[in-house]
Amino acid sequence: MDDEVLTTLKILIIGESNVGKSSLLLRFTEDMFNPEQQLTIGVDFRTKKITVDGNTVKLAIWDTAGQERFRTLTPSYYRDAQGAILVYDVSNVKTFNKLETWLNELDTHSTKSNIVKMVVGNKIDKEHREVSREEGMKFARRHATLFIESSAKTRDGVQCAFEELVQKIIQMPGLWERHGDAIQVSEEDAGAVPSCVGWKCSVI
Amino acid sequence: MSEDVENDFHHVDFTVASIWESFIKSLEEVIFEWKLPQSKRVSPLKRGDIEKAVWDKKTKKEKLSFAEVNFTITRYILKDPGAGVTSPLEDETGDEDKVQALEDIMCFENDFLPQKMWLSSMGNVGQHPHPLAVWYGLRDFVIIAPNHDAVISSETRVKLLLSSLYIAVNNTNCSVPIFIQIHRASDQFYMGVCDGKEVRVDFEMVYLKRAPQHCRYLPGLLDVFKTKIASPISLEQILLSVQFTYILRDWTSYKWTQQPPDFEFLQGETIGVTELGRLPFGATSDPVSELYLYATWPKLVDSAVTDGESYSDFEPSKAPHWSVQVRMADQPACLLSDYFEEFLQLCHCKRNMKDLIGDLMECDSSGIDISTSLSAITEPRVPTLSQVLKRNKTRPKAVVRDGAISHEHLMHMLYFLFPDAADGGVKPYPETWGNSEETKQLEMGNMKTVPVDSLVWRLSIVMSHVLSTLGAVRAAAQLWYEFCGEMLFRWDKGILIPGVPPGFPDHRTCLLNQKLQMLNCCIERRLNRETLARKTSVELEKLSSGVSRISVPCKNSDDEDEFFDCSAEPTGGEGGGGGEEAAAAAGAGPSRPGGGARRKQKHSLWNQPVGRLYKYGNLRLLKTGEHLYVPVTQDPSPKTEDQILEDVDVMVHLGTDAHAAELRARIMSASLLSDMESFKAANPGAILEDFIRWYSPRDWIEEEGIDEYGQKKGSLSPRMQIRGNVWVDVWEAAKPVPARRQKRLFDDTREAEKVLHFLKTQSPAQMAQLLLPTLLHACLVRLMEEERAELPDVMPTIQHIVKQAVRLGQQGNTAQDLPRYEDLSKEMTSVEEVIAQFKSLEHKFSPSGGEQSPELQAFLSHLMQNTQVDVPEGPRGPIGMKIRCMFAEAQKVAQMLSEYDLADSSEETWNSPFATNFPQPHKRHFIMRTHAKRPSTYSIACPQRLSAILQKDSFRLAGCFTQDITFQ
Repeated sequence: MDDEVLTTLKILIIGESNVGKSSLLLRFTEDMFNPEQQLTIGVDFRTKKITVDGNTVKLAIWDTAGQERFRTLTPSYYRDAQGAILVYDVSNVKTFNKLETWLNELDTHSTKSNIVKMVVGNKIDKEHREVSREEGMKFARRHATLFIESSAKTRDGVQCAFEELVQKIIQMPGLWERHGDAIQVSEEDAGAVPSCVGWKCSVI
Repeated sequence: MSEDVENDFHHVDFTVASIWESFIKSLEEVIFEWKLPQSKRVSPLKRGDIEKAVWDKKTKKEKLSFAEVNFTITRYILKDPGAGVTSPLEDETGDEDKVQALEDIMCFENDFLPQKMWLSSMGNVGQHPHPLAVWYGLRDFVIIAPNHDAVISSETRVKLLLSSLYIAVNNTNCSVPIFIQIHRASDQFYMGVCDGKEVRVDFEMVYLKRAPQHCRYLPGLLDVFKTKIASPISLEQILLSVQFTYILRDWTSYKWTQQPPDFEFLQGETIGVTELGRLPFGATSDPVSELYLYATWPKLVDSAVTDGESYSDFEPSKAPHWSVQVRMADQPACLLSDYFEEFLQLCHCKRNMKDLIGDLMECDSSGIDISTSLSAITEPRVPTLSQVLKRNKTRPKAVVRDGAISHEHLMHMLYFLFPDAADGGVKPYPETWGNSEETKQLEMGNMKTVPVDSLVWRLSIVMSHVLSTLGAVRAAAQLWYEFCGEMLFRWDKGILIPGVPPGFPDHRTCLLNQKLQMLNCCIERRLNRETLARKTSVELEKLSSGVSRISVPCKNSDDEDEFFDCSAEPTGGEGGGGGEEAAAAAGAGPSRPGGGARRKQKHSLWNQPVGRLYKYGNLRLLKTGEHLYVPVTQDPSPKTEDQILEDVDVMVHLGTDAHAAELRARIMSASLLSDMESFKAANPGAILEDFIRWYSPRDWIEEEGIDEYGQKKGSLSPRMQIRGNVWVDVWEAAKPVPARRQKRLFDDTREAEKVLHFLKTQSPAQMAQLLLPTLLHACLVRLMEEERAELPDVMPTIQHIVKQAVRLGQQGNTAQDLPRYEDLSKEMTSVEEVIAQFKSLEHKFSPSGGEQSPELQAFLSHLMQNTQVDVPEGPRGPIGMKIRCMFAEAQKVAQMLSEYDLADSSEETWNSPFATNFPQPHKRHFIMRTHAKRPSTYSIACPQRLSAILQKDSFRLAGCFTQDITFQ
């Protein structure tokens, strides 16, 4: 089945601790929710195949620990990621306020300049909300990222978040290379359609 | 712009019989198909039109045949420069009968069209514009040429073809001249006809290897012209246009070349620091090979000029109009590109270090064995360089025996690379590593290399020097070997490596730099550890002397319920102690000495709080009420990118199931364990809840109510309370051990040895690949230094190279990307060539480095575009004067060399006493024009033209003669 896979994409999930990063991942990969999800230590890793617009890609998703102390450890794993999901907890404004720090962290350590970023407001199932959808959108717009709200518990927005991210990455010229391609897609001009790939691309 | 027009049907007409009749027939078909008779007259040509505008070329193959020879018919037509397509002339009042071709041949504006003759890659074929346009000033004509190797040579056949042509054009009323190619294509011999309504136009040609005796000068040529016209009545005035071409090949003192740096010469004077740190630039031979001077006399009257063996009016310095063109040397050797090329070659080198410098390594082998750093204690037999340098001027014991680099050179290089080893006088490294302005501007900062002028930067340049000028591959291997030796020496002796940006391996820099940063980290840690160990041993002595009378049960306890004799209130001394510790931590690194000693009265000896960094806010331990201290923890481990890749691989290979996740957590928990142990050591009596409040505050859920120490009550988050979760497990396993006594998470000795091993085991090719990106960066910076605003194409090319280089760096696989680097090398060569050409021209035309007038600037940049450029004010302007000087100097040299050698002048005896400052003209081109009544006295006066082109080994007359066909 591997030959059907267009490429493998590396995705990061980052954000403050206890915002539901691992739960999002578990919901996406296993379609499960564990209210007693353990704390991640350092980094964890999962894979999943996903089909977007008829293209099947394999996702290698790196889940990271949110604790401050682990930040000396985790950025090593940011290398070569094509996409990043920045998670905050809509019921805790502090986790939202920290997003800026996480974006900086990402910019400092990611090796791809055009990495696709998505801001995800998680735990929308909670009744008590501290961050409105509008605030989240405003932040995402200011930093030119994708935005979605989700709940790992109720499944809301989870699948959609990953799909949208993958779609955007595939559209991004030069960010990824096709399996078995010896020559990397030209990264030269952001506007150029990589003709050698023979893939339909649109410019964002 | 060729366009094949294929006819779908081919009808056969049996009413035509002979071969030439069918030839005429098919020719007419083409003429009609191309609508030649309908072609409209267009506006008169302006100067430069034929040269600059775009030519349209229409070709038709295999349609025409004559006596089993197939012909290709091609139409050349000039697109109107203004409108893009030929636009008909607006006013056609009364000029109906005029013929475009006749207008064009009499038009002065396009005399002496410069031909782009240097499309070397295309051979002679690529001449532009077509020679017929040059000889006749035509802008629309058709050529019929035999296909392939067929050659039309016999006179009868030529006549037959011409007659057929004439019949065809007459039948069709086609006024576009049609030519037949005679002899070989390379002879460029064409004859043609044109139906000029009431006149018939013949295009004739003479082409000889040598000019006949009587045709060598203008009077003879005029005679030929007059005789050929053979008008029954005396001719009108003949108008002349004349152009003489001179070539300057010997630049004498105007030569511009660059020599590779000569270290032999330099070393006597100074330590060649400037030369060592600088890549050479420029062409080793003059990149401008020839200068063509065109002296032009437009519109002269035949009776007013004299031209002959003994005297000629055509003295170039008196010509009213001058223009020049330069010919650039084909791929001159350029120093910078050659350096880079050679480095690329090294990247492909198949030989190993042992091959190259095995003898050298053998003689060192007892001393340098990187895997056993213990041997550092014993002096190696061949001293490492720093030792030699330190010894200062005493001769080293063992001179590098057969190394390709002399000892002296090697010393200079090493002083340059490691300036801290010298007492002064050499170039130290900059204090800070920022990118210079120009690198920022070009995003060169994004290149995965090193900061400008850091150690790896210098090493790449020095390596390049060594490779190109100081002994090639063997010398390069030797330098690398010495470099590795120096690294080992520094690790052994604990001397930091200079010129390496401080801090952890920076993954935005190249791998070699990361390795050196790693080595520096190791050296630093080791030094800290050792100072600390010394201090601690002193303190311990003091301590043990103080408490020796108490018999201490050696119990290492993690029992949280241990009783402590401590007060609830913080004491000033304790706070101060904490602060001191914090200060000490900042200064000394991973741990600080003596914390325990001072506090011995407050805790039982076996449970001293140790390794406190600072108080964590107002938090107090839940069980004891003691302040919660942030412990001193182990520093994070520096890692180079290849190590991280390995780590990632390990993680990925574990798989994705629950078991794998747990395994990963266990691997990752090493640092958690270390932190917990430090925490326990700093906070005796602490429980997991205390730790979590510091480490993961979001897992501490505050509740209503105040505990006995005045803090909010709370509990662990549900996920922390899961039984058997890693955090609880690790907490239970953790013993109170301060960071400095823990097993090191980062083993500096092992890591340093890894780096040294890595360096030592690089093959010459791998070594070159490590340095290649940095050398490329250095080359680009060098190009930027030489870049000239006058050359608009240079910056975009450099920018393009930078972009590519940034991308290559990101891919980070130099070995695989070598072909790409080769492409970049070619681009760099072209940039260097262009800059060298410009500098050469500047050297020739610019008054020694002074201010350039805008006129000169424009002149130079036009010359660079390889076009013919008018010399402002001709021979009398400042540029003209310069050119005259150049010619004069070259003539002087030539005359000195062959004072009485008249071999040349016997061939071409155009020798004027007034032209001694100029060589023999390379080419003389005369255009004669007049109107004459032909063939009889009552014929109308029709235009006549003859172009004569005289060169040393060719003589060509291209005539165009018209005669009245109505009034014969």
